[in-house]
Amino acid sequence: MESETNNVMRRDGMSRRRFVRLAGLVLVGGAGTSLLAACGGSGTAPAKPTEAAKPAESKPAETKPAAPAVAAPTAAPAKPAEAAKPAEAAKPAADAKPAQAGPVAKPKSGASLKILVWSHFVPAYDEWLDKYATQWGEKNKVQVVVDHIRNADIPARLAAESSAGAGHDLFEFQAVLQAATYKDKLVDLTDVANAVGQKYGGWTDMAKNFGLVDGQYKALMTYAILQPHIYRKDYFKEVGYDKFPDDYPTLLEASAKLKEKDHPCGMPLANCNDGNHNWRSVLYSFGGAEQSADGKKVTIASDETLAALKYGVELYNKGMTDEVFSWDDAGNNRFLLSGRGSWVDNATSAFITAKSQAPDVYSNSALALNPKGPGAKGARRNGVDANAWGVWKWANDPDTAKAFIVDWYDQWQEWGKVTNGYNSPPLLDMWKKPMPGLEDPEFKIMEDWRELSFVAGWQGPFHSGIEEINSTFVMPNMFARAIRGDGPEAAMKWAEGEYTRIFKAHNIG
Amino acid sequence: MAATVAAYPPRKSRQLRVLRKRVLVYAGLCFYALIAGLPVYWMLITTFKPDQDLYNLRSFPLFFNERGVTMDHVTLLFNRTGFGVWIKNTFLVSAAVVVITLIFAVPAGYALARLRFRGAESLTIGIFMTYLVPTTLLFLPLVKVIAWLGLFDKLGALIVAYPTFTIPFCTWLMAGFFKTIPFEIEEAAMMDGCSRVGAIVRVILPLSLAGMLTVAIFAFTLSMQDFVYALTFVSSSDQKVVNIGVVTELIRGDVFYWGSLMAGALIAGVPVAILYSFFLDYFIKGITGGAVK
Repeated sequence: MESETNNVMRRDGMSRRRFVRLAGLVLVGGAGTSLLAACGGSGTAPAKPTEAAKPAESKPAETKPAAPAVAAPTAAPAKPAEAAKPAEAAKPAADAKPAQAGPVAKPKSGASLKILVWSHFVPAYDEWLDKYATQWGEKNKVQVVVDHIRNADIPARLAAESSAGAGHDLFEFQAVLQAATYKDKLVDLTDVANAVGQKYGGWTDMAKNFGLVDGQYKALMTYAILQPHIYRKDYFKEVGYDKFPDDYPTLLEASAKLKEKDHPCGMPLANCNDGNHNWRSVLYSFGGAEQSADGKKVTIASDETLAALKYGVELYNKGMTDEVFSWDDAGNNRFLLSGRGSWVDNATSAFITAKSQAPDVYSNSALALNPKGPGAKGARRNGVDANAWGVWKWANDPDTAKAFIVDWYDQWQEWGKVTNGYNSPPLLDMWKKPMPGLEDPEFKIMEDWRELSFVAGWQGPFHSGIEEINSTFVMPNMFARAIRGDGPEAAMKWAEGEYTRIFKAHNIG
Repeated sequence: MAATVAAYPPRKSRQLRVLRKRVLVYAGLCFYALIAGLPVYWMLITTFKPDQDLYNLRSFPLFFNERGVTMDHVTLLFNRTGFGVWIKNTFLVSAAVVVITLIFAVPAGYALARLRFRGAESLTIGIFMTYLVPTTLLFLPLVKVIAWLGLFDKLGALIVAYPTFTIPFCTWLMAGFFKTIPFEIEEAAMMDGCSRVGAIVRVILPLSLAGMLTVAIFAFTLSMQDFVYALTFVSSSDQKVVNIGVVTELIRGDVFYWGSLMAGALIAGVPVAILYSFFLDYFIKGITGGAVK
């Protein structure tokens, strides 16, 4: 008995080496199993090179004409891009197949429609959307549910839904477009793109290539989020500027004077959406581009990029403080609302919020156009965020989702008004002045934005490679490296390496 | 005699030494209490402070400032979000997870600590190691299981998923705790006619109360802390738990509703802190039980 007890109660000796070996095996095993399971046919593989456009999946014969447009309908196809020349293979469907335009799917009576959108910066928009979706559901005898989540959490949620093959039917990409990533799991929305495009005079240059994968619209731009400069009128006046500088060199001079008065400026040098588009604005304005017009060649290493990086280093040294390295998307908002910051480059959210949360800041602030970049290729260009609709293939009824999308575009005046123009429309006829929600003189300036707003990958299409570059924040990291001591040349070389590696991984070029 | 007296330090000196020791101990305690309490205090102030004071750099953050106190943030939390439903869901899920965890972790811990089989110790460590695999790595494969069970976007998804990380840790904890109970006690019960199950129920479990309470508290708080599973498995507002609800609906793009966020965190966190304080002694006994044999 004693012997048995001793046996039972014995302490299994375990050497440190054995412990470490066992721990390593468990961790490697766990990680490996997870990765295998995660990768097993879930379709998050990199996109293949662009192929010829495939036929649309919807059946025109079963569809009905979309609801009447609010704006004057037009049958004219979208105008060709002015600044950007789209890739041949990625030719916009609206241009390529105008004959398809017209009938779009109709909602199926008794179907259900689950929608996932971000928690919009303007709560009134969420309230409007919830109400509209309910009314739309009642009218069409469809049970509609709208779920709202934080924008930063949307990619993780989409990854889960993609893996599960279940969840929502219709969803909204927010800033991080992953149409190419999930192309095999998304419904082709080309018929919707054609119908809506024809109704509203065509898609804007920026929207044309957004969500276009292998010649099919796998996502449709809902709206862009423009990024004006928001500046303190009183601080600029204090250092001798009656208005916001019109070009980058003057902005640098002003920023240096403002920092001396303890009113630095700020653009995030961190992994966040604001970092992405703030520094793209600088790069594009200086004439630098990430890729060629056909989207096949990396062009980040150029004299223009070098000039933009040198400018970024100078602007940081003379005009900013090191807190910009720790900012998330809310960093510049807090900076402006605190009353210390002299200017930020942000969506109007920071400005509108100031009205209720910091009235003194609001009354002394204004919106300004992007400054002009120097040099022969320099111009006024603003890097912007954009959202897009996507429909999963396992949707309860894809036609119902498509019908909802079409009707949602018809509400453009409503969502323009309710968001004060924060939702910037993606269709040409919606840009006719006066634009809804921009009646206030403070916002009037936003009516002139269409020609100077560009999504990531400017000059070329927003393809899967650009998607990955955007979601891994290569752009702000390039500027951060230049500023933190690597120097502009080394930072540009590093970025070229990243772009080349990612393009290669996606079989681009 | 005189020499003997001189060997003891003077009374005043001893008192001074005791005083100095106490001052040092209390200074240290105060410092750590300040570190632990300051964030909670700051949350409390932020909950009732108007936005204009919150964003004003000239306003001292730890006091109320010129605009005084507001209930706007709390009103927004209760009237414009589903906070009440989230709280209810949180307690429902956490309670279910505690029950499931106890059902599995107690017998598993006993088996690993008491039953004779080769590699029991290695298996114990192995089970604990699975707890270390991050949820960010596991949520993608696990979501397939959840969808297969038909639980996607339902509270049941969390009740099924959370035990995957509470059971391994709590099994390891219980195994350590069972090892501190002398085998002779169980043996004596068996000599007196108890079966093994009878000995467990009548002798071992009552002696393991501290360990089981610790496991319950751990399972409860681990369930309340999770973010990734709650975010990816559930998205309907009426199915959300509080830790995901406040974040997804009170952070809108780049605008944070700081006052309401702090109110939500405070209201959800304080009851758990009070619960902890009730069972603190058991908790310490349970967590240190496996340390000394």
